[in-house]
Amino acid sequence: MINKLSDDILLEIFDLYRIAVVESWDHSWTWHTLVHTCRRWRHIIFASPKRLDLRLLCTYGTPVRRILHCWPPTLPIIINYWDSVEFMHPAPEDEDNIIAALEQADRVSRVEVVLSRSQLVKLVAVMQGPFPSLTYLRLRSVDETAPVLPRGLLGGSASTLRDISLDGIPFPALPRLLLSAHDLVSLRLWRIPDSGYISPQAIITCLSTLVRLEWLAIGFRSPISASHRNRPPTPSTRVILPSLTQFNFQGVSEYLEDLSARIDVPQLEHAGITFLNQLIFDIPQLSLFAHRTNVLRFSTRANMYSGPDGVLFSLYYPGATDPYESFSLRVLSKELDW
Amino acid sequence: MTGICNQLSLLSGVGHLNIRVDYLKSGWQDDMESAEWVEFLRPFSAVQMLEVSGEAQVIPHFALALEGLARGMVMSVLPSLRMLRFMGSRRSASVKRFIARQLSGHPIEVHYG
Repeated sequence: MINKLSDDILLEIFDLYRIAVVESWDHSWTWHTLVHTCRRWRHIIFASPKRLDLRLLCTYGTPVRRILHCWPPTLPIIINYWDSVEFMHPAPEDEDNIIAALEQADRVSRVEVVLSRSQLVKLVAVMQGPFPSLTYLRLRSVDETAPVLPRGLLGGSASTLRDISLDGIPFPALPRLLLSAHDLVSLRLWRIPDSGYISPQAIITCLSTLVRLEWLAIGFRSPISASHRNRPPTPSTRVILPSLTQFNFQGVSEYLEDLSARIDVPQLEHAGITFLNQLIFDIPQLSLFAHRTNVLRFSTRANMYSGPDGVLFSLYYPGATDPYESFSLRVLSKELDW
Repeated sequence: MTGICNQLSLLSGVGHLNIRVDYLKSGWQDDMESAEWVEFLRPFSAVQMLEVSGEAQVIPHFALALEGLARGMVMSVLPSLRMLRFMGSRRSASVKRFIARQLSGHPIEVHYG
């Protein structure tokens, strides 16, 4: 019966199946089980790689180097070693498979890896050249001290990147890379160590070119790494971030003051701010920033919660409940656990 | 937090305020004096519904802060209040006295639960 279906009908069925089973967080679907069914199915599927969104998923336990040649050499590669539950870094036997995948630099579209210090050194060594298809770069260090990412990462170009997330990884030369990241939608720099300090002025300079940016998160690991150096005078003009809807910050108020004095965010829907272990707050610029956005103006409900870690203040639009606050401000009163 | 809230002047649009205090440092009365409660509440000039919950000592202290308001300050704190809800607390004479002094011209419901 199924053999009577035309190629077009089968392709339609495969595509509907793909749409039904794919999960946005999963990045891939199990098309490879279908191509093993018969030669005809294999031909139909490989004839429409874009429509069927065929990509090679390299993840924990995948023998990438051994099987890479089995698949069409044009398929994009996703490198995903990101266990968001346990933040498990790849096993030693996975390391060569990651290298094998990264050696296909033209094909790599996503890199999401939780890694140790030594694994980061190896990964960075093979990411010195351009990655012309890379849209998503997400790295998280499991070690307290990660090496500083070099200036030449990705060949110094991020023109295809839409999403950058560095967690616990210092990259002080990032602003230079961002100058080429015109398609960037999400920028998340979190748990920035002392060695990765980037000044507000440097961030602002590159933000001015990121007109598609929708989500910005800047978070320092400690008050020391966020402590502000050489505060400049308040500028007379501000950078407009026309697409930004989500903004998160963790650090000291002086840094946020310098940042918020220099940006206008007309589309902002949520701002989440955490101040680290400060006793005195002087936030006139944050107040002015809030005046220029909707997050405070249209919020009608507020929660103030005091717990063992500090105080959390949240504002909500009418009808919104946790965790969909429009504005949250947390003041931590003890050292972070990391 | 009091200092921060006082700098965020747009809080005057908030109509419903929920305060929960689950953790008190030793000597917390020194940290959160009655005057600080008042200063914390001052930016919330449009609050009609206020809920307070948490540690057993918090609500009596909060109620005392309201009762202790000087006569001239009563109307400047929570002038739009219509409903006051204390979760997990018994009736408070301090609250009753605060309500009696409110001259906003509209009734204020007080709930304990």
